[in-house]
Amino acid sequence: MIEFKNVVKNYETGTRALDGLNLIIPDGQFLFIVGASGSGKSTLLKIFTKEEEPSSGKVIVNGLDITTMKKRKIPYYRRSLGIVFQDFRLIEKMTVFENVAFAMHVIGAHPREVSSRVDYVLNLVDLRDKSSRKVRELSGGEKQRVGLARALVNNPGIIIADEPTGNIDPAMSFDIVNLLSSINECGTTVIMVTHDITLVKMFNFRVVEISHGRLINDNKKVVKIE
Amino acid sequence: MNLQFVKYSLKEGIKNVWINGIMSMASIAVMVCCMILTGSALLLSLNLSSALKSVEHQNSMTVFLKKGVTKDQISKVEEKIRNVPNILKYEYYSSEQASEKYREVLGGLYEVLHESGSPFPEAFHISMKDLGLYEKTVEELKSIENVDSVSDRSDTAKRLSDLNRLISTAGMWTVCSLGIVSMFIIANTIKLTIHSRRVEIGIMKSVGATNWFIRAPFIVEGIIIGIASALISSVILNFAYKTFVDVLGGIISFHGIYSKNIFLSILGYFLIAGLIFGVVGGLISIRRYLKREGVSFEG
Ligand SMILES: Nc1ncnc2c1ncn2[C@@H]1O[C@H](COP(=O)(O)OP(=O)(O)O)[C@@H](O)[C@H]1O
Ligand SMILES: [Mg+2]
Repeated sequence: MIEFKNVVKNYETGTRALDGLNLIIPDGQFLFIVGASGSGKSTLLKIFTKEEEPSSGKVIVNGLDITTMKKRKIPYYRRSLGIVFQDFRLIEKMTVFENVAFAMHVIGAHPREVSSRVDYVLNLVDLRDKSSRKVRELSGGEKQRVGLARALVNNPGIIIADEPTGNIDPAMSFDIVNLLSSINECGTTVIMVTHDITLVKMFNFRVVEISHGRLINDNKKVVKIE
Repeated sequence: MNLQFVKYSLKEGIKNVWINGIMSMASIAVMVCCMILTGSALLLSLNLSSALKSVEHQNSMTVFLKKGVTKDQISKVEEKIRNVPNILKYEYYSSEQASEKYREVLGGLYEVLHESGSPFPEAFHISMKDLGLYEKTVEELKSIENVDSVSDRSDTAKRLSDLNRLISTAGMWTVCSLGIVSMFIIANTIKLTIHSRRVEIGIMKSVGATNWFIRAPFIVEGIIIGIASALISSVILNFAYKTFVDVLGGIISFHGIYSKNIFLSILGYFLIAGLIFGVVGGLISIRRYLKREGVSFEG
């Protein structure tokens, strides 16, 4: 379970990006986060991935307060997350396979495990036949599927995606969310930020709306029983 | 630290040097220059020390006579020299002999420099029995009539040791400043590599690579640059110095010290220096980067 408790984030510029946000995400949930541009969605995810520190409040992940986590523990914490970026963040000159394998190599995975695991996730995202293609030759939708495969390859419990469909066309976008939803069916928690309401409406998942750093709508509010 | 980590770091470090080929070569070139300068200062100082030692062990000196002494006066001086107790043997060294030898060395240049007459004074080469009586003997020789001066080893020795001290001090400053320069060169080269690999670094952070995994390839890159510089500069210095000693030894009676051991120790120092500069340069550059970028995944 993930729990945001009264999270406030003030940037050095004086902007208050989060203003006492409270949110509980049970394990295995699929959650859409929507809201106007500048409402604080990305900031919320960055606090969750330890790219930013909250000014106050707590974020508790599986019983652990990550806001007080020691710096050297951060990499190990991140291995439990799979992060998908709007701009894909792939290494263009590498092949599809190499991009996914890279995520395993750099956390010290044994080469023997890498090959079979990469094949497995590329199969999941339906890219096995493009495994040896250079990333720069792929379409946007395909690139994001590589991004998804990379996020999955280290077997994380939570997938975090900040506008993963922001750079790809609508038909492809639907495919991506479909893929995320099938991953979610296998028990992985998925948190996806988007401003594509049409896309959100195609699925029957929980949707929360953020405005000015606060939660203003929640179609399936989760209340913790203390 | 497991084998996987070591293999990965080595591979990526070599790749870094390769990707940033021009800059790597430039920084190796600068480091080679720094090391050659340092090595030259060291060799110069070693040669001076050895010259100093040989001067200190000399039991011979030269007595110069005044300009325009007659044959008679020379014989009188010879007589007196024979009577100085500490003299082992002596030898007359005429003005003509001196200029003859000089002419051999200079060839045609000699005629240009000295149109007429020998510029050298009449002289005696003298060997002593007891080095302990050096000062006293010099005094005795100086007091002989028509003796102009005695080549005094303490003078030469003092000049040599002054020069040596100067070179040691200057050399130390050279080593220090060039060391700092080298470190910055390496750090800046690596910073460029880091910049060109910032996307990869961002990805590494986002998938949970430890800081050591992120750092190591850049440290390896620094070490490669340092070690390559050490090897290249040792080879160049060895070759250049050997040629220098050979050529100079052919012209004047210069006995440059030369041995394989000197170059092995120079190589050793260079390797250690290269290693340290490489590691420190790598650490400096990535440290700044990791700090400046915080924990963000942005490139
Ligand atoms: N690094 C930053 N420094 C200063 N202000 C920032 C920074 N990142 C975001 N902001 C500001 O914080 C607010 C929320 O930004 P963000 O979380 O990116 O919103 P969203 O993702 O919902 O568009 C915005 O006003 C934005 O300008
Ligand atoms: Mg955003």
